[in-house]
Amino acid sequence: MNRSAFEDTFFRLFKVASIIGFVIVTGFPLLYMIALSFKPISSLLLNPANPFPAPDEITIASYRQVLTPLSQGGAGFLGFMANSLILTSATVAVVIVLGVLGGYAAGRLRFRGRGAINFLIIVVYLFPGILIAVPMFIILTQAGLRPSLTGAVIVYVAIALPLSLFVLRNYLESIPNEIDDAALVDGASRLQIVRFITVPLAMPAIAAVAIYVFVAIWDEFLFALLILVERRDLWTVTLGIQQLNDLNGSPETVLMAGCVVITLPVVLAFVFAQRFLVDGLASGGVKE
Amino acid sequence: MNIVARHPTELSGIAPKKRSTRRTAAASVLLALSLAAGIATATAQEAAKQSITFWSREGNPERVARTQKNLAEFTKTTGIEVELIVVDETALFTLILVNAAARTLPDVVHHPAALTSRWAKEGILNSDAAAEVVADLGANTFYENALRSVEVDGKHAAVPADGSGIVVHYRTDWFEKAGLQPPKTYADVLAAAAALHDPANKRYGISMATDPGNEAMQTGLESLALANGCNLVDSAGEPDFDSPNCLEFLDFLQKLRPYGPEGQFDSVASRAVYLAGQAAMFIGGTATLHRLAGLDDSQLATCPECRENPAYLAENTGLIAALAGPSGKPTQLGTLIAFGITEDADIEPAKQLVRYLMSDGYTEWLAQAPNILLPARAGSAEDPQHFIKEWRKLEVGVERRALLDDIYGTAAIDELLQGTPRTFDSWALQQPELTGAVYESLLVPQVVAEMFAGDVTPQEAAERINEELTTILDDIKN
Amino acid sequence: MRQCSHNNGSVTIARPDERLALALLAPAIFAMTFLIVLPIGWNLAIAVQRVTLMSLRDGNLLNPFEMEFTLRNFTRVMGRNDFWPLVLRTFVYATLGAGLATLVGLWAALVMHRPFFGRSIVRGLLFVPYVVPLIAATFLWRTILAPQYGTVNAWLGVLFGTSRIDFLGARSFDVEIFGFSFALPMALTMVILFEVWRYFPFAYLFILARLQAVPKSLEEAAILDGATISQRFRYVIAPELKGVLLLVFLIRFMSSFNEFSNIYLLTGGSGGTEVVSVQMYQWLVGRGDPGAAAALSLVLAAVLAVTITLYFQLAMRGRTAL
Repeated sequence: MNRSAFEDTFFRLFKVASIIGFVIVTGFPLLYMIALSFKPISSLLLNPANPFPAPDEITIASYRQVLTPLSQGGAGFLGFMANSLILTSATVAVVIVLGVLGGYAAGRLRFRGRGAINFLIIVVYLFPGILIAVPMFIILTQAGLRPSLTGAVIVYVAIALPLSLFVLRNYLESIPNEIDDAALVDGASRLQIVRFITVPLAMPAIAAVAIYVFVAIWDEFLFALLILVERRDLWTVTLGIQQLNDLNGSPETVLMAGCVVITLPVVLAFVFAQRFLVDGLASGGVKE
Repeated sequence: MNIVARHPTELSGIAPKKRSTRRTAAASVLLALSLAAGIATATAQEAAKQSITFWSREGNPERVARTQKNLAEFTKTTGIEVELIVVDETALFTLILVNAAARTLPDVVHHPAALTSRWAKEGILNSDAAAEVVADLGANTFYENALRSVEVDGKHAAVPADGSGIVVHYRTDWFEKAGLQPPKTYADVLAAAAALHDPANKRYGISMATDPGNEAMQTGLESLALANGCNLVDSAGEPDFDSPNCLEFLDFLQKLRPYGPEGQFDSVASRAVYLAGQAAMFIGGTATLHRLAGLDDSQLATCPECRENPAYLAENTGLIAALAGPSGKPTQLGTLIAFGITEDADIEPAKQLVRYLMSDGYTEWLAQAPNILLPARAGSAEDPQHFIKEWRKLEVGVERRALLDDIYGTAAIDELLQGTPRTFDSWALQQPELTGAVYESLLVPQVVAEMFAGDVTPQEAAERINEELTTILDDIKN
Repeated sequence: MRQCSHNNGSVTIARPDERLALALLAPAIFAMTFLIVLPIGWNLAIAVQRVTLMSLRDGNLLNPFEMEFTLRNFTRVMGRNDFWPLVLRTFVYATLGAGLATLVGLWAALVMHRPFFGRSIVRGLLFVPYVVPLIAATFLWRTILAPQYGTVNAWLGVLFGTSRIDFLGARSFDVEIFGFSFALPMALTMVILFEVWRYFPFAYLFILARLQAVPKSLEEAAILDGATISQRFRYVIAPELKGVLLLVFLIRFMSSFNEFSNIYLLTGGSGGTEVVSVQMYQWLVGRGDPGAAAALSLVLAAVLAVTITLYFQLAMRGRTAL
């Protein structure tokens, strides 16, 4: 057997093994989480080797508690998810627009202060969130933006933008300049180039940034707390979950039920959305 | 090289430039509008309510609903609107920090008394206002220990509201069968643990939090330490963990440990052991009391006998509120929660709210979760036992509700009330700043965990703790 | 008006470009300045003063004429004898966490690159560690790894007959492999593994995006030339990915270095897992000393900046462009 054939077989097997491995490492915790939303810890203690609930143990009490709206005494997670969705989508939209435009500028155009911009982007990430919290809180309070979803969006955009700029700039730099040049020669304006040429080419990076920002904001806790705590109707899912983590009140099964309710839709959304976005858009690229 | 033209308008000749500028303009207008709307709503809210803000720790939706009604009653009689904001205990620190900086502290804040002294000294609390409320209500209607917890420089800096303590739960059925006394002292506990420890049959002598990363270990240890009069510092403020009391305490722990299950248990796990019917004794807070009675569907007890009788554990559990060590008096770690009026408060309305919550609205307040909100104020001037009696009439439970007296028997609840908060104590009462740092760093649990692991002897552990205490004290003094 | 000259194949256009660039970047810069740079400046200001909680309310803190400079915060923060060990530990945690996450992400991206049966579902699953709320993730891990009722320990006992391992609590654990025995810092290892598990999807995401953009023609040419899979990877794909791998690593490194919640929720900072962010939290919230916390953060930022520059130089040796 020559080397090529050997490698083909080896890597095919390796690939299958890898896939199985990844599925276990990511799927098992998900299953576990679902199992724990039905099965109390004390019952787990009796038989740790099998975390899955017996058929007669399954009750939907936890889920009922989680999904019932606040007005009826439940935890109101549907409302929280709506808030999170609004907040996150708005942030992603703004970040993508500003990021693509800014990334284009930083990555392809020549202008003074280009180095300074790059430096600025990195500097922002050298500091942990809590330190930014106090002065940011004061600024938002003075501006009357607290508590409001608008204030939260502004803060989130400010937080997510540096990284997005960095990534998009990086990616856009690698697109050959000849494409832009040809379009310029044809009489297109810069904005047209960005919209009709750059964006389709940069789709994978844009999609990656969109997903990253979405997840980062969806799971964000500190700033959501600081900005929105005063209005329970504006709470996001992270604030809602934190409430369920109160050991004096809610048992762990309810916490797990809340987590399942939050996680499953997002995971399913990814299964659906990935098909469109990350699958390299081979058409619309540079054809030799 | 060909570029694939993507957009039909490229070819059709319609001026895309105009469209894109129009779009950008539209987008910016939209952005500006929403910004303005956000600002407008926020400011409108400020103007509409001449109200006060009240931070509560009870976030459970049912409790929130209950308190909303309670507050509505208050608004009806006084005309003052109250904005109820739920703040989780872990988030409290951070929120107070930022709100202090922005001058937007809440009017009234329900907070652990362990923080009262620190906040009063930092200028966050308005001690005078609170002291006046206590005087109005009558200082003698409160439990002494409760008042002591909020005393700062001779003044009551906050109004003690409710509390709960660490309690020893024990299996009366196992104890009776073995002919053992209720575990009221160190010696009793050790004897019982030894007698009832049977790991082969999944029976452990004792279950308590042993995870040094978990706050529950701190509270459990502190309760046992206080029972023997072991304190962080002596009356001169010098580190005192190498005192005979503390050495006795560490020794006791070392001897007790083998009778518990192996491994590091956090509060969840240690409670689970008892709920599974695997432990003879359980050291923990009173939050579990309704679960032992099968009143919460999402966390039913799983002991073998519990399948048939969900209330089995409650029927066979006794409660010891205050343990006593060989060199100490009956004491328990009590967590007292108080109402504080802050520096940014609208003083008169805030005082009125606190007064209401401690009198007409008190029973409703405690009703949120009676097993963790035990009254710090026994009664009123007319009836010194009023609130205690009312509290006993409150029901606990989630899907089903019942009276604590009915579940555990009057004797057990009497015992519970004997302790709480009369025998309350806490390291935080001595040196709040020091204790704050000690709690945050989880110093004691970590050293004790090393002792359990055999890395240090009890003597060495005591010395280690003392060293750290000295370092922290030096830090604070600078 | 427009002058087109060709330098190195790129078009340099004079002044209209600058205006446009600034216009495009203006909103971004505005947002970042107000809400990020100003707070950092604020922190600089309080790091060099003696600050208490209530003095934060004072506007005087920012007034250069009223400030009383002191380096006290810095000496206190760096004078602790556990300071440098802490920094080292944080450094190790960040490097291993970021490095392994990047490698696992690369592995995942390579595996998922070409279609196979059930790929879309696996793609969704791969995001689970990243998307699960942090509280859930840490709670799950703590439960699965628990000594008494954790599934891992139960199975290890059944399969290998080992006694209960305290994964998240043990400071060190003796391991014997092939006759060699060494002490593994167990809790620290588990915390690093958690970091890898949680963030490899991030690396996977960005690497896959870059991978998809590699023209198929390049690989096809290599196949025609008779290259094996490993050769194709080494000579065709890897060079294309170097940039994004470095990028991902640096981003993860910076994040992990400042990571707080993950560790705090898993171990509370005990068992040898205390990192600098935990200490910063204690200064700020536990001791109520914003000045010290700010000073600590500046020191860390400096360490971080130096490290990133070093890594960057190391990786860029021998390359012309990212």
